[in-house]
Amino acid sequence: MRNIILGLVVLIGLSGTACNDKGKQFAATTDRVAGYVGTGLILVDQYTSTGQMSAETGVAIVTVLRQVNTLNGQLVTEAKTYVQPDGTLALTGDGQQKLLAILASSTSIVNTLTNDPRVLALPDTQKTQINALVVNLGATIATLGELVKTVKLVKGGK
Amino acid sequence: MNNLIDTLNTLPAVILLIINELLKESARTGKTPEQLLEEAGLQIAANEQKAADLLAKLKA
Repeated sequence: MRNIILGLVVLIGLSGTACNDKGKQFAATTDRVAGYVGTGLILVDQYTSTGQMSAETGVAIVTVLRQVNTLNGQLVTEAKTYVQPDGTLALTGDGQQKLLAILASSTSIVNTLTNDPRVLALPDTQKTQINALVVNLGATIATLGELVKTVKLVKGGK
Repeated sequence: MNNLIDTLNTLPAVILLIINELLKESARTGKTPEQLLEEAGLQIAANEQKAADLLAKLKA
């Protein structure tokens, strides 16, 4: 099962490379992060509703997902300044640092779930699925970081 | 058809959700960056509402 999930993750990643430019890739990847957060919330809702996860563990996971969602919202707001209509990412040095700081916070928050004792104590099936979600989310945030790091910077005040 | 339905019923929720993500991925290719950011913004707003509702339910 884990292999199937990881295979799908790779497939999603490859399909992302079909985008022609970094601005569009960045925008699509923020949408992808939002999708994974939504998926995580649905999973927690299902597990807690059916007694497969305690409310305490559910609160811990939802709190993390909510924080990542808030940071992703900040990324989208910032990106509206930098993504051009032609799909390019017109990023200044200051803008790059700002986006990287937001992404570092997101990565740090997602990583807290990896070693959370409440997640580690879940039954194998639930733990595998939450871990798959965390891996997806972390990899997608890392993709955003790579895009921001490798973009050709433009000169500007912001 | 019944076999297909039986198979789908045995798939874990996360697989179905990832398949849904793949379908959304396909839809993203024809959109402009502005449209993608707009959709991300809408999903983020929906996530925030869902998270708030879920936390209230779990803490009740």
